[in-house]
Amino acid sequence: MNHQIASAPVGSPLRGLKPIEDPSDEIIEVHVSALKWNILQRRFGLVASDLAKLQQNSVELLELLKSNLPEKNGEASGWNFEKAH
Amino acid sequence: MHILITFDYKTHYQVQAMERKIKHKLRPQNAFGLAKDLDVPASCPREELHQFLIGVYGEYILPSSVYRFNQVLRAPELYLSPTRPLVSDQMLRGVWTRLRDRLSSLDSDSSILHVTPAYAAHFIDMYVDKHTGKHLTGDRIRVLLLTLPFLLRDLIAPEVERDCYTCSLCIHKSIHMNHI
Repeated sequence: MNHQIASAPVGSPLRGLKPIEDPSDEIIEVHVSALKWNILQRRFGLVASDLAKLQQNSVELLELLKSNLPEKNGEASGWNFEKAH
Repeated sequence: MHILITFDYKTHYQVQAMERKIKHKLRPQNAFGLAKDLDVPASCPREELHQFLIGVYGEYILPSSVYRFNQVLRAPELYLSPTRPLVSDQMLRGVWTRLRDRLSSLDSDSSILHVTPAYAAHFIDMYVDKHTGKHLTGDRIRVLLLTLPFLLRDLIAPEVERDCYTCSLCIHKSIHMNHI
């Protein structure tokens, strides 16, 4: 796509568009954050400090969802969480 | 069945102290916990399976990831005419075929777990083609949680970097090879 955008002739709808970026890094960041959260919450015998860390991880995951997958799956309501912090 | 429920005062006060410190409830009261005969099942560790794996990850994060890729490839400004997207249906299908093939290439020798072609096809049916009658159990969704961070890497890099004509040729060749 970027090749075609870069070489778009005058009059083409692609002319002047910014190059497209593969969003996989941002999507992977969300998946890794979810995996990290899952690993921590499965730990046997969580103590209060672990719970505080888990809560912090939850906040980070929710923020990542909003920043990296802002449109959710196209729903008009988007991400609408209870206040987590 | 008798279930012995113990109350750990030390942990309780630790949690209370931490809640005061961060000004946030770490153990908010769950309405399920108040329902008669539901308190024990609702607090079982396997509940992670429904609330996190099937819920947050399966219902929200996975569809949103698929949507984000579609959104980039089919952005409104990438249409050559109102009915002619730069990324054709065939190219878009090629992206999901690539993900299906990456999933089904996992085997226990190299990746510890084995993903069958049937499972990979089921994943595409469910999340890409949105077949409403298809579901995955929590344990099967966990397979995706463990593998997708690796398999999504550069998923649409060929479409982004190569020109669409070369991409179509590659997809056509790949489909042709599958028929041989």
